[in-house]
Amino acid sequence: MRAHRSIDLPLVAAGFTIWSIGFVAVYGVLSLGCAAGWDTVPVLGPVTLQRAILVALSLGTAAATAAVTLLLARRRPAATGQGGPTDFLRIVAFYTAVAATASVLFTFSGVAVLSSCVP
Amino acid sequence: MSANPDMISPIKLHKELARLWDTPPGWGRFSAVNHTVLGKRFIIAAFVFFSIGGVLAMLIRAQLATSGSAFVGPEIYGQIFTMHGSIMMFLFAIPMFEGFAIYLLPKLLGARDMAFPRLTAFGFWCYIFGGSILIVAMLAGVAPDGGWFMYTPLNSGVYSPGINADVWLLGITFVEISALSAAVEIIVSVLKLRAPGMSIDRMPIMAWYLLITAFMMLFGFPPLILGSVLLELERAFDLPFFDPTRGGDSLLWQHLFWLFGHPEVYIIFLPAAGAISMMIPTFARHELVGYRTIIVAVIAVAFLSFGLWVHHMFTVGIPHLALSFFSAASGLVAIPTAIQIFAWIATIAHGRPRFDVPMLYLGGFFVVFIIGGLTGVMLAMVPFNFQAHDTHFVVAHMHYVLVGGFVFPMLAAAYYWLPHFTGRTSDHRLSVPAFWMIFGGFNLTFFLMHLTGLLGMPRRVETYPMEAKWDWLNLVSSIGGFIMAIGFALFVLDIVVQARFGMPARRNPWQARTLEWATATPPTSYGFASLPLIEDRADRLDPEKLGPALARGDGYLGFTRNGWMETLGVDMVTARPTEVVVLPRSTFLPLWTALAIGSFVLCLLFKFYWLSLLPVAVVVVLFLMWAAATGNREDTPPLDIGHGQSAEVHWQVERPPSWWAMTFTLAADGVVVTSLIFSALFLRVVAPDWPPATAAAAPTAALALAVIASIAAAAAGRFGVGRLKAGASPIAAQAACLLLHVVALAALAAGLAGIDDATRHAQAAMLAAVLGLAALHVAIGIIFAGFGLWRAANGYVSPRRSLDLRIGGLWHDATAVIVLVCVVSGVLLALAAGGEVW
Amino acid sequence: MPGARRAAALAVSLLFAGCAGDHSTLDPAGPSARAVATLWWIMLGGSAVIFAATTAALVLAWTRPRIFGGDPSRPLVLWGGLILPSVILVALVFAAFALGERMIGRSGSTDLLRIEAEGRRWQWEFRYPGAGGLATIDTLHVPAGREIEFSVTSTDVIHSFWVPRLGGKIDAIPGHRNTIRLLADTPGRYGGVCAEFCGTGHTVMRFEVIAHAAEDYDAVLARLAAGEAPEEMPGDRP
Repeated sequence: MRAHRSIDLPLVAAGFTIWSIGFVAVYGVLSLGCAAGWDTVPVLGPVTLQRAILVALSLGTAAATAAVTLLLARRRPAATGQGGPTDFLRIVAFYTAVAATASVLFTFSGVAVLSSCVP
Repeated sequence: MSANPDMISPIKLHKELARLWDTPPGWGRFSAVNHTVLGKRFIIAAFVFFSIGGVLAMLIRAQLATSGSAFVGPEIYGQIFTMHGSIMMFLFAIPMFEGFAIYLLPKLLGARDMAFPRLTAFGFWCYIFGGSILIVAMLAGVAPDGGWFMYTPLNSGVYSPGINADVWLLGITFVEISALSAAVEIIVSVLKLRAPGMSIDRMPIMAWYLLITAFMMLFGFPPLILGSVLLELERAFDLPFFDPTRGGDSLLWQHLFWLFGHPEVYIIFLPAAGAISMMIPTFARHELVGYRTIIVAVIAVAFLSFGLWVHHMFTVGIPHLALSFFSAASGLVAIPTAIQIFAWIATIAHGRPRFDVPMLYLGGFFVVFIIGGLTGVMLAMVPFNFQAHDTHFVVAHMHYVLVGGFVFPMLAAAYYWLPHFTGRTSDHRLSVPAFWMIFGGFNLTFFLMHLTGLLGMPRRVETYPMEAKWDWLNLVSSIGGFIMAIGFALFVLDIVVQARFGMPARRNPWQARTLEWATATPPTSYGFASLPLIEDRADRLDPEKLGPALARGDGYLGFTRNGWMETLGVDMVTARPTEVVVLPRSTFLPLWTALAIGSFVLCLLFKFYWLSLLPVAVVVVLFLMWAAATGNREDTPPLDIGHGQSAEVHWQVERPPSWWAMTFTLAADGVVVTSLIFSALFLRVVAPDWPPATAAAAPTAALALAVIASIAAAAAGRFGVGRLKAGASPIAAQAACLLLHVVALAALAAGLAGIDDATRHAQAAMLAAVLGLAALHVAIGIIFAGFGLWRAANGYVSPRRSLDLRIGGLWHDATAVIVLVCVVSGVLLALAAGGEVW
Repeated sequence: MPGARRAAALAVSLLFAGCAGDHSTLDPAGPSARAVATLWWIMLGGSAVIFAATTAALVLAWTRPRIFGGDPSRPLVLWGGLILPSVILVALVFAAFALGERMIGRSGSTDLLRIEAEGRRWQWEFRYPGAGGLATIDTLHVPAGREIEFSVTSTDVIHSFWVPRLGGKIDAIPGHRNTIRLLADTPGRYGGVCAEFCGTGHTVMRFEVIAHAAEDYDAVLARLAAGEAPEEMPGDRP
């Protein structure tokens, strides 16, 4: 049985906590941007300030969940046998982070194309 | 297991434990704090409310059976459908699952009770009183009538001047107290009160489901409570949070409501899924397939369900991109749900399945819930939602999900655990026809209702013209509804007959392999005469062998001492015993406290605002009496727990259950604060009529003083704990803490007094709300500091007994952060609106 | 069996009769409603297949578990629970995004006609900018074949503007102005309702959409503005 650290239990929520923060940030910034008129500010060709910020935030969230997934992958025990509670939690944390990364990609999949403000 | 050296006979042990744990007879029943007693009461009360809600559903179906019906008018019909929805959601589904959790959880975990028995009782009384307010209002003809999600401005003072909406806001919030206390209690019980050796990877799957659900409640209920308080403030004191003519916004209510409302669906479904995950392995005669996968899936559902709420608001005029996030997340949640369903199917495929009544009802669950899930994915698609939203399609979908995902599993659970409740076996004479009537009636009612909706019938109409051609569909639904009602009547009859006249059952009649079947059936008040040592996953046990051994006192704590009601606290992850948790005896305090809160609610309801301060004072005094009833004036040496091991008593360890309870309560509190600040931001960005013509100003000097004083109060609290641990007196530091809180309160009061008219615009109202929330925290901080001072002065604390001060310290720390955050937001709110800052 | 076939035919015709109602989303009269109806039939078919497959898996797991091989959890949980639903979901969600963007995203049309719809307890007032301050109550006149952008609001509580045969609904929210674009293919009468519960008059807060031939539309508005009845009502035609 591996030495037990108190961080292992909350880490099972790590991936999706980042998903939640990203979700609130992207949705919040979208509303702020529409109120501030960022969707009418061009930055590069057809790309508006609003679009650029939202895409950057989405990619940032995806990168953060991916990074957490990699960190948790390193903590994951080598063998998935009867490893005791710490190994168990680390495996759960890893797969939850994988699910969270997939969720980020899917949740924000429309960010590059769909209309970002009510005309 | 080694035998207890001071072995006494099982009968004598039973008598000693029963003397301590049993609820007193007669009037003493009202003092019950025992989880078995209260779990049953919760379940019975929830079923009574379910029956009332069911009768209302029959009235709805009677009204809609034919076109042009004049059975009831629109005023009454509004009350009927609003009460049907409110009762089923708030007074049936949540309390029913709480009842199951309270009854089962300690037995599944190998503990003698929940972590906070008085809180269980308090939650029960809050639920009963809050529910009764709603039912009495209905009988008096003044039930809420604006729909169970209480949209504003329809339910604001202008358009609902009567008492009806207040009944909802106050009554339901009263009931929510019970839900939040249950959430805290379930989390702490699962994490801390397990049998030694039941490490977190060995917990029965139900414990995981309940743990995750309770966390969802902790984060899901605060937005609703906040919304209800704000709306009641608007109705009572004209603070225009939701009034579009004064800078408020009706969409704010929708966001707050559905931020609760969508997780709520999963809060209802997941405990039922937990019950399914307990029953299927028993009947498949194979352990649950994919234990770890299911846990990952449930964590995913728990989070994703907080990213769906806007799918109830697709048509309110939100940009398509924003809708797409919620649409994708709504679809996504189907995947972890599918994983659970297929894990159950795989468990059946792995095993040697055996048929019995609970499996019949689970068959009903599969069919109904899968259909509900599929229509849920349909509704998650924005274009389809634009058509189907607010029609009977949604009504049908919602009933497929909730009846499929909750009622059918709960019916299965009722048959599965009935022998545990009553100690009697079931027979099938009525259970099978009852199932077919419920299942057939349900599908007859709701299947074609999808079509009714697509043919354009909106929700909540009390009648429809014959030309609409919805007659035959509605008639079929109504007939189905009455068949289903007869089915439920048969179910009740069946349960009563079996509970009353069933043959006595032997232990563990289904050959289950989980711990709850190792208790006596019906269970004794203390559950386990001694606590087991768990050496395998908790769904691989042998209750037949374990039960008698535990009854003999072979496990931990197989004795009584000091007249204490004891159970074990363990390390959250490894389940190594860490403390002896001494639980409170039966007491009337929870009843009195709930009654006092009930009087407060009634004062508000009848608008006796000044009088309402009296019950508030009583509540404070009663809560202080709760706290004062525990504790010790002397240090206790480590206690023998059996098996040659010993542990400290819980108030002498660093992080006992009550410390965690405060931590989790503060997490919920943090959600309230965050929601309020986001509400202010939302109004600033989205609401019409901003910035206000005359903005309310924030007096910076006073507010800065409040921040400094509350940070200093927290520091003084910490210093006091440090002094105490070093062997010195904490009294001076506690007194300073108290004094600094008083200063902070005065400063915040000055800030509030600076708002000349909070009813003028939502900006002023929000500023008042933000500062008021900070002031409320400081005021409670004064009580904590005062209590700490009293405990210190009376010798209840020592270097080893610092818990009282440390729990207060958690509050002081949180208050410092909250005051800072609230003040900063208040100043920004003033600045953003062009208000003066001085 | 002929009997069963006759019963099925009867059921279908009964359903079809139902679908032809004045408020039926399944009897679309405009591109929005038609696209959603198509989406619905596709989703219904897909759901029926998924439901049948899942139920079959459950029954087979009970009766013939060996069909899933030595370790049933792999085909069931991995394929049934994760891979297949993910593939279906991705396809469906992206299709819905594309459709949604066409329905409620920015419009490419330059020929939009604007009409204001204002809900109040318990009637709808429609205003036609450029038609001399014309306003109608509970009857909405539109030209057929031309896309109309409705600007929807409310003066009291929340209502919802919905013409099921033309397309989706949009909430009328006090303090906000929402838009929805609809188009009626052909002249005719279409039922409209308030879809959001708005109090005791919610049920009776219906309205009627009259789509006129595009070439007649200006004349109809002029007659209405002059206080005369529009001469020719499309629904009155034989």
